[in-house]
Amino acid sequence: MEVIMSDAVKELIGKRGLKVADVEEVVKNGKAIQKKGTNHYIASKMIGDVTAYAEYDLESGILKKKANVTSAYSHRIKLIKVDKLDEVSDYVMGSTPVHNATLQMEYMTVVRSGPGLATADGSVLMVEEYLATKTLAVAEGLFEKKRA
Amino acid sequence: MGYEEAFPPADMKWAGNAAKRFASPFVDVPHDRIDVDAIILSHAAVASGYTIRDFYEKPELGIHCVAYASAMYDLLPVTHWFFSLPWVTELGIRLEYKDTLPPIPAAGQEHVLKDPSDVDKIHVPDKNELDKGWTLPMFKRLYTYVQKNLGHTLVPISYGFDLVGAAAELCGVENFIMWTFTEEEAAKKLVRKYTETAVNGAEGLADTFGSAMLIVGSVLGNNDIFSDEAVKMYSADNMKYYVNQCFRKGAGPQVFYHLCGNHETDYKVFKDTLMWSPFTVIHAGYKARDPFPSALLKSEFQDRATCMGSVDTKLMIAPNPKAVYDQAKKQLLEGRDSKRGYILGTSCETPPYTIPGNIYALTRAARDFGTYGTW
Repeated sequence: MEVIMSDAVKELIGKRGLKVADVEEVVKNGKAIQKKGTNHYIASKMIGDVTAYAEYDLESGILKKKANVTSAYSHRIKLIKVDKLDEVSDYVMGSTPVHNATLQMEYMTVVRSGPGLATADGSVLMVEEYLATKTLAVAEGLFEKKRA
Repeated sequence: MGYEEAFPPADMKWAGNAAKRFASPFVDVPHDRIDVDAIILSHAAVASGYTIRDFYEKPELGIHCVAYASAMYDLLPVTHWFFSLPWVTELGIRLEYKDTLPPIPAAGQEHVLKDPSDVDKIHVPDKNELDKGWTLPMFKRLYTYVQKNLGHTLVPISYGFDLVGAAAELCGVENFIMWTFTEEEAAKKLVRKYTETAVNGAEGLADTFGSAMLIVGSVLGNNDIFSDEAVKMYSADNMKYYVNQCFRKGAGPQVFYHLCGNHETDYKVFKDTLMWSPFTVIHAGYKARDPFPSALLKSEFQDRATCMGSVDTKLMIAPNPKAVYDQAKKQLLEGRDSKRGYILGTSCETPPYTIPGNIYALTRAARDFGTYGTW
């Protein structure tokens, strides 16, 4: 698979403390879920202590598929397991439905609950971009501040 | 003269200890004792020599009184200031200040909605429109004051507050209750439109301060009025929608869920309906006529959130500190080992003319039965 990304996306990746090579690794070897009825995917993979994500549109090329990366993000909070599955989300993994869910999350040895996406067997645990870059980013900062 | 000039400088030694104590349940680092949140609002003004009306009419004064009273009583160190009807002025209700009450709909005005079909005509203001209204600029002004004068207490808070009760004010509470039987779709749509307005308000505050704690309650949605199913449909489902949408717009991650009034059986609908974040507190006021038992609160919610137990607010104005102490002791013994921490509270806002000795009874009980490492 060929991974392509615009200069603007590369700039965003840098601003979010990720490396282009890491994002390529996520696309090629991460677990991916697909937005139903579209060619849009979210893939995730642990890179060191960070869970990194790539969002991309998968396009058919002449010889091989092209993943056009539209965004990338990460979080340091670890997603541990499913507390509770909610309704089916807009995403699937192959033919397996992906649910909105309450997940157990761990940061600095503290385990708490938070929203995310999960398959019923718990093999896929993810969060969408808004949660990682807003809710969880502020939560990580609060954990660090309150632990200090 | 600014309101800050009416108060001595903040006691930063107290504030440092209180901040560590407040952090305890959220980061699993026990410090000092279980915290106490007596949900002080206009009592803070009364205790500082001002009036109930002052508290609401002069929000910056009011919130400074809360900061001062928190230190005076050794309470949880978050400066909050609110009333139950945010965002309704932007939907057409005219509020008026009263001498003994928070702002309420002005007497003599007609309901904004006269007929269920009027619900479709409600325009949900976006954050830019809210910025030209009354509620959002007031909260921005309020937290700018806190940032400048009480920065160590700053937690910008956006209030969804009572999504059902505030929506009901648009058509009249009695009419709304009737609509839930005869015009269910209109009633549901009405609450959702109010909720969307509150979401946009939270976005506006988060845009200004980088984040915003969310306080949202189920007040009119309680078992004195509604069945469990109706509480879920009108209240819990919209509380989830509110928090979910607020997260999407950059507010949160702190959430305070306030189940006010009687939640005798409907408490069961919240655990699997609400959205939880790593910094969530859930508080329940009453089970029938009694304060909601902390043992039940713990067993139901300790795997999802920090639990906040209740001492009956009626006791707070009775000349019997021992009764407050005994009830606080009971709740503390039941709830203090909640997996994600416990806070001792009152069932709702402590009354304006609360007896100071009764607040001391709360903190004494928290010291005697909630000191970390003693159980």
